[in-house]
Amino acid sequence: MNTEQDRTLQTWLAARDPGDAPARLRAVATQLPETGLRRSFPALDAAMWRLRALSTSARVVVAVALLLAAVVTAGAVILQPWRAFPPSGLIAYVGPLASTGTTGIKLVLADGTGGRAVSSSASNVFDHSPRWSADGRSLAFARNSELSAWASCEGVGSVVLYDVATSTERVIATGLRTIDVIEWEPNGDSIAFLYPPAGCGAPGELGVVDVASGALTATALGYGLWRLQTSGAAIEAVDTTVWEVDSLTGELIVRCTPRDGAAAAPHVEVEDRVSGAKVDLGPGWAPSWSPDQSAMAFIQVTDGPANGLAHGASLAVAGVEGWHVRTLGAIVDPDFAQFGDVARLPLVQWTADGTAIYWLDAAGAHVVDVGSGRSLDLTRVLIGATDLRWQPTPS
Amino acid sequence: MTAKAEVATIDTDRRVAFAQLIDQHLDRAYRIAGVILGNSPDAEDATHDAIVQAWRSFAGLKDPSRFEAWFQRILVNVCRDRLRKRHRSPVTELAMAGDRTTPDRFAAVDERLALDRAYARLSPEQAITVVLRYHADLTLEDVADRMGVPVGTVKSRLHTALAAMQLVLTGLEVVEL
Repeated sequence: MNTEQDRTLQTWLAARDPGDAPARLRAVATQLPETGLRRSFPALDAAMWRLRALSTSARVVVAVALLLAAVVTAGAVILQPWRAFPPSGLIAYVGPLASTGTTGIKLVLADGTGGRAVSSSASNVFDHSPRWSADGRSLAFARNSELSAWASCEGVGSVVLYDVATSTERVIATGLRTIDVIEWEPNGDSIAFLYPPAGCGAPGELGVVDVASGALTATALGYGLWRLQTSGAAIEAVDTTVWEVDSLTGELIVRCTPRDGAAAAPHVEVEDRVSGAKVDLGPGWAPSWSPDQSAMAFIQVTDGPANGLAHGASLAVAGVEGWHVRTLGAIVDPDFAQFGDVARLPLVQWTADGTAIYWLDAAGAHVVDVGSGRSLDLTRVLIGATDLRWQPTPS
Repeated sequence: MTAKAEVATIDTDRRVAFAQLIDQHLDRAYRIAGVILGNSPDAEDATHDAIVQAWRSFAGLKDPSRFEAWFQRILVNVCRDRLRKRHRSPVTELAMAGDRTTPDRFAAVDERLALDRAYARLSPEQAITVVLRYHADLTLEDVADRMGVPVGTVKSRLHTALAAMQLVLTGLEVVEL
């Protein structure tokens, strides 16, 4: 189009121009419905509105601040610095009693403070197997006394309850055969114990004593190596050559059965009793459910050559969701490294709140935070200690 | 101030800000709609719809300084939808009588009627392109921005539209585009 025709077109277009907007249209903007607002995330909406009003440099500052906040948040989620680590609470353990040269039960905090002896220094009295009650207020343990220097099975066994707040003890049952180990029943009303100690050459028995009344029941087990473990709602004695742990619901069972061949490590296998599905977590030993049953800790082992020192062991955790195995720390055991005998491996324990796992190996005592993987060496705090038990947070 | 109160304050602030921005740009928007659609009632309806749509999307406007362009894009979309509805139910054009090349006192009326008819035969996109370029006096880049198409497409639409309208202005029969 030429200029003349452009003008013609513009004139024609201008003739269609209706002029300024009528007042009623102008009023529309002041009578808008509230529903026009996006209210899915009002706080975010408001923040974005405020942000738009800022200058470019201010926006850059806000963006950098948000980025830093994101980095800090991500770090906090990973490291969880707000979580107390190591967990608060006393550690009960069997350790040397200075005055007698024998061993007894002692308490100490993870930072080395608050140490005290639970056991007296009476001669020929050996306290062992400290086990916290679920509320963390009481500590049960076994006491073997009047032991014979000539016959290891002879002596008197007792089950004792120690009140942490008052530092007083109460003998629940006594006059028993010498005790090998004790555990609280899941109901918290009674304590189970195995006797006599392994190596006595006598058939084993499973005893259960009611904490309130002291009433005692006993079940003959026969000869063999026995271990106490939770199975469903009760503590039962199991053959130590088979590691089989139920979940609380009984739907999942974890097995760990030695296989043929001296150098072949057993595998930790999880079986769903409902569906029959099985998951092999690889070579391992001593599986242990977390308190909430959401994860399984076990000792992951690596087979070495039958005549070498290459057997390795480390603490591993696998979550129920997906059973992804995560390694949290090495477990030092020269005997295992040399011989590959899983029975020599230590037990790993969960703290009652499920945030940490602790164990005792040839290198000393260790605790690791399950979430962050942070670890702490407790060896200097727990010199000569055996059978560690972390106190549940007193309720 | 509580979060609820702050949100309420911001809502009020936003409503006031929106009303102020609309007030600044309403006349121009309404006039563009009027030229595109050819009558005041349609222009008023289209502008009203554009205001409501703009309010619903106002929270998503990243840069308030771009309000006019943003609002015009919404308005153009509303107008285009209205033109498309018209095209789906076309008005039968009456044949023009007489020799349009003969200058007489009715020549201007003839020319206007011819342009009306030629404009009505343009596609909604071509019509809006012509209005934005020749009435709103936007640059090709701005027209492309308002219509959400590349500049090359704007040029192409303008070329085709003006060629059709040129036929009218040179006195030839309007051809089907």
